[in-house]
Amino acid sequence: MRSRINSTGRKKIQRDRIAILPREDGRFVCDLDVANLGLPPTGRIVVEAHRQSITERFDFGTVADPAPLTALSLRQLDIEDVTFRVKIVDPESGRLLARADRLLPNGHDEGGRRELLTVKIKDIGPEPWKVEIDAAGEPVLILNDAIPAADSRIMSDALFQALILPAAFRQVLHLLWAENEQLEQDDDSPASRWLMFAQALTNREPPDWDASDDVVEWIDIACKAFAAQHPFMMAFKEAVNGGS
Amino acid sequence: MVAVRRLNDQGIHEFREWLEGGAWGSAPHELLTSPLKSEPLSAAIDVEQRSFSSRFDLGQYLNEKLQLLPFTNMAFDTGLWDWLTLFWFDQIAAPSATGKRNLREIARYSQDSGGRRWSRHVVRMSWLSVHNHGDNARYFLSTGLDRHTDVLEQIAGQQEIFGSRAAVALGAHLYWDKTANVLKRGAGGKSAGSPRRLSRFMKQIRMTYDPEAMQPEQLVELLPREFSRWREKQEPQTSAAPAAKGLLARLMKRNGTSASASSNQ
Repeated sequence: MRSRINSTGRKKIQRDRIAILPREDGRFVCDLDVANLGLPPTGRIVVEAHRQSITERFDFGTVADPAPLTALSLRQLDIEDVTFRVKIVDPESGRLLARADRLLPNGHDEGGRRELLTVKIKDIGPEPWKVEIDAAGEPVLILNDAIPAADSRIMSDALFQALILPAAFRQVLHLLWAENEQLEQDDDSPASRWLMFAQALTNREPPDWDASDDVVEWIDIACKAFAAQHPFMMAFKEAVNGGS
Repeated sequence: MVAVRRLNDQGIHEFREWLEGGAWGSAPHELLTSPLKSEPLSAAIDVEQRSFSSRFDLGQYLNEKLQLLPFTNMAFDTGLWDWLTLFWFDQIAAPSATGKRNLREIARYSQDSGGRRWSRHVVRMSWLSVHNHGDNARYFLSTGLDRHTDVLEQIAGQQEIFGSRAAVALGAHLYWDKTANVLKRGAGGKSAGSPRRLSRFMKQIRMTYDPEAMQPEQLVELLPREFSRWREKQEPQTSAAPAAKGLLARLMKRNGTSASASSNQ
């Protein structure tokens, strides 16, 4: 997050210009609208499906004539588990002219509103919970599947929330700080969305991402503001008092 | 020879429990054949107990052996990769005379399919590296099965590099001494021009460029000056830039890829 200014001139392709529709035979249909983006007609369009380190690329013609040049069929990945990105590239230099990231096939989206923190229930051995950043860069709160009704407790049990969420919130920010060197203002990445969320909480511009002390302080302020918005302490005190 | 199977959920659970308990004593090899803890694959594949000189050696072996399996079913099959790990576990984390193993993080032995540690699994990543990058994977897999080097972490552990054939080929050109067939001296460090710096460089340029759409020489030309000593070491008797272009182009060609290569183009 050293720089949050998009100085590359790269354009963003809005999500509503892209529709990716999975078909039952493993193929998919991609409908792209790249008109009126101010892009050169020779710009080459590439559609990429990826999961972890495996990427499948599809040549999708040019800005002037956007159409798949090969069959849109995944050979190495399962359409149920992939994320897509669309790139428009200058054919001479390889420079990115426009990009859209983290696209889910239609029907897999959350309908506009997107979760900041996904909750998963898994066997994580002796730990009650932990936070991870998944392969798509999304923060995930993992609750141990040995905890009875963990998924409903995290949504409704105030003490459960008080014991987990403030610490998880802090961990997410620290993990995103550690894993992201750069963010841009128009970036729709999970890190960028968290940054904006924390910025709204603190009412302060994030500091230079290289200034460790300032970042730690800023995260601390964001965590306090987050905790202040929720009755974590009250739930905790009630539980302690109730138990004594 | 032993028929490869895959651990089922119970088998994976028990293998992880044993790992989390410190992996004391004999590995639970009974899971490998138990019909309650493991199941057969869709194709008949045999493997053997043999010694691997490096992760590259293991990757080559598996790449050949697993050809019959559909990639999609195999690449994310935790049960398969954990089965294979358990099969060679005494080589991957050898026990001492007291029975204690020098155990590292669990993700190296049991596939962490959902998180960011997907690159740590010793067996899966050895196979995937050779499968995706062929000979160009030598420089980060030239280490024993029981070790995890910084070169490996920086190249195989970073999606920006590992997911790009052009970037991995660039690393092979920079850090692998083809004459001596070893990692170049100093490539394991963290200083200027190191794999750690290449990883950072790739993260930066992917904001601006699409490496897969670039010719090898275009990628080399973008490298900052700090990488020049690695380029020059390769062909000291010729001028650095033309040698770099030619070598990198050959590296990629030999592996059947081009800078814009992909499975679908």
